Amino acid sequence: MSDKLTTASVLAFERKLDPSDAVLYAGRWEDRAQSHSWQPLSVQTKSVRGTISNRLKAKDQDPVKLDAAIENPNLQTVDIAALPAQADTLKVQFTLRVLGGTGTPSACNSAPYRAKLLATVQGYVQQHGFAELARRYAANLANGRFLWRNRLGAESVAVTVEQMQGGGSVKTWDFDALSLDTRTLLAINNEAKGLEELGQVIAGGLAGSGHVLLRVTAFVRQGAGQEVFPSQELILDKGAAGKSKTLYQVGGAAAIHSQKIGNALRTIDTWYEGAESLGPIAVEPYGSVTTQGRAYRQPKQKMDFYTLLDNWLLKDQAPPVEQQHFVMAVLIRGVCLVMPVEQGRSNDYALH
Amino acid sequence: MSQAILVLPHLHIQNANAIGSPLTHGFPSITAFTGLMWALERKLTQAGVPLQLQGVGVICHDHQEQVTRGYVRSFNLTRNPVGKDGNTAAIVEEGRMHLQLTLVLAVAEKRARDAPAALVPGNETQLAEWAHRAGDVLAAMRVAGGSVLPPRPMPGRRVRPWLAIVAQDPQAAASQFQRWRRQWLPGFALVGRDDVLAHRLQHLRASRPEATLLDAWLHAARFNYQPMTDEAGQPPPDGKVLWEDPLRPKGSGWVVPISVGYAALETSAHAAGQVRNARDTALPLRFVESVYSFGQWISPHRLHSLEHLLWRPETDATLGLYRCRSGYPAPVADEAVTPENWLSLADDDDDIYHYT
Repeated sequence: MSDKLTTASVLAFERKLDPSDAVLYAGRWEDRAQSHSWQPLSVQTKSVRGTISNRLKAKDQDPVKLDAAIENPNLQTVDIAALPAQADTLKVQFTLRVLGGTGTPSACNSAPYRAKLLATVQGYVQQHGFAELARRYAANLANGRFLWRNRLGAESVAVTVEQMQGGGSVKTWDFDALSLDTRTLLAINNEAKGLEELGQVIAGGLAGSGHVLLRVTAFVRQGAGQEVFPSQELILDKGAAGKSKTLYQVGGAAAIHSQKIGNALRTIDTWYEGAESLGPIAVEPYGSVTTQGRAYRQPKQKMDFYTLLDNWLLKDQAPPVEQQHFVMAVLIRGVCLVMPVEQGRSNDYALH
Repeated sequence: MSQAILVLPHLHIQNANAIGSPLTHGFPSITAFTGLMWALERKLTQAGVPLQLQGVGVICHDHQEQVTRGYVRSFNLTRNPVGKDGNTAAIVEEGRMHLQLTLVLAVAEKRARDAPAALVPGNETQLAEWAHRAGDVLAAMRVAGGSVLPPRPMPGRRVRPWLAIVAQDPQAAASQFQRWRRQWLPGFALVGRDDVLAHRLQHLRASRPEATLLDAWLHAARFNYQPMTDEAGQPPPDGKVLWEDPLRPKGSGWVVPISVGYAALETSAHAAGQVRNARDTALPLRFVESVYSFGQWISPHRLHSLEHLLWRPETDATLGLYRCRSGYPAPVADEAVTPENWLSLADDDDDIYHYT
């Protein structure tokens, strides 16, 4: 047996960006200063009498049968969340904990591999620091990407990020989210005032031994009574739920899943092939984008996380700087490698 | 006896594991909390806090399991990113829940030889500092697989961790505990009720001598409704038959099936590094299965001693039993709390908690 380093058969990393669920509140744009007294938004259930409009199978296209089928009403019960008639602004609030210790596996059964991994991460931190990644995470807080569909069609979006300590905020940054482009993370976003500073705080959290706590509040001016979009639950047994769409609630308030917030925050990967036309995608080992049913970092391109990591650690071939950023971003995301020992929760995000 | 307690009040836990064992769901296993205790002790040592954690009490104030409530409950699942071929990833069922917990940890001091004891009355500044550090360390950890959310201000409640010395005099300790338990209301503490299983087995064996412990566990874990008749065996004269579970009368408590630890499947452990793909190659490995028993959710004002609240891990390597044991004493049959007598039982309390 040689002393050749092999991959640990059990290797897992916990996520280092730990967002909470984002809770939705409703109020008026001019009352933003008193937003702590705003009411949480509740989810309503409504039953509608719809029409049959899905594409029918070829065998059903006998005109008589077709008429009969489409004349039947399509009854369904769905959940809906909307602003009240007197409120025009949606408030979305969550907290984000930035933890240190990137590159320290939460489970690893090979001591030499662990040592090599830590040395490699140390080398990266000394050379580059977390500044590049942290600035990109900060940009995703500033541009309101975590609002997902609530960001579309909004008249104005104001994002406030506070650094919390001992229950109070010690530093505050304000951003006008709509003036920032979600398609680029480099040129335009860097102009936002305070972004650099927020990035440094996040980088400090990732590099430090303690943790940094941020509270993010976004105000979205939608228009009174407009529908808003919390997360939708994935329920396999729809019959038990009694409705065809169930929205997520925390303690009676409509909310967005923490997984979905996390996915938006790590949408920083612009280092894959085809990034010029598509813009940033979420950091995933295979660069997969669920909405497109595609993976942009195929193993055959040698650009996926596992190939890059193995080359870096086992063969001592350091990838280009951009790909080093990508590998670190996957470690920050949290990942369970090789053996499914524990489900990396951070890679779950809800169906929307 | 515990030297002191470390209380982590009103922790908001997000997406904790709701599947406590292969057979139970609804609350994380008590082993998740003893595991947390050990992990916290290690991290505290790294942070320079010389405390040894010996037992853990769990009080649940609020919970929200991520389920869909129909006749059968099903877990709300998550959809994972597509695989490298662009196909949908398989859905792995997992149960998640949000919790609001108070954890009470029994603490002893790890003292260097000749060093003065720090865990003594009058050393409040040091204790407060340690409690604060413990809260900081815990904030970056996982509790039963869930994230710890930052504390929210709750008017009239302590939300910051605190450390207090347990009085040596039993009477002083009892009155001290009476003060503490009030802070944990409203809420329910999980205590062990191994006696339920023993009694149920005895009951079943009376009619079915071949009944096993598993039969008894399954029998006690469910409601066994049956028509009730009066002493003479006659149905009620008005014809309205009452259906009830005779072994679970009103006031018998909120008894739940839980898992309490692990039992070895083999007589001896494999030496370290002998089993491929083990999580840690430096430690011996033994295959185990869950051990089931019963627990009870009990309001903290019904507890009379700190020891009754605490769960302590217990290891018997020869027997192959790794379980947690609750300090809660089995209630004596005639002292069982019924709606008729609980008021009189509570009379000796100076802080009786009024339900409205």
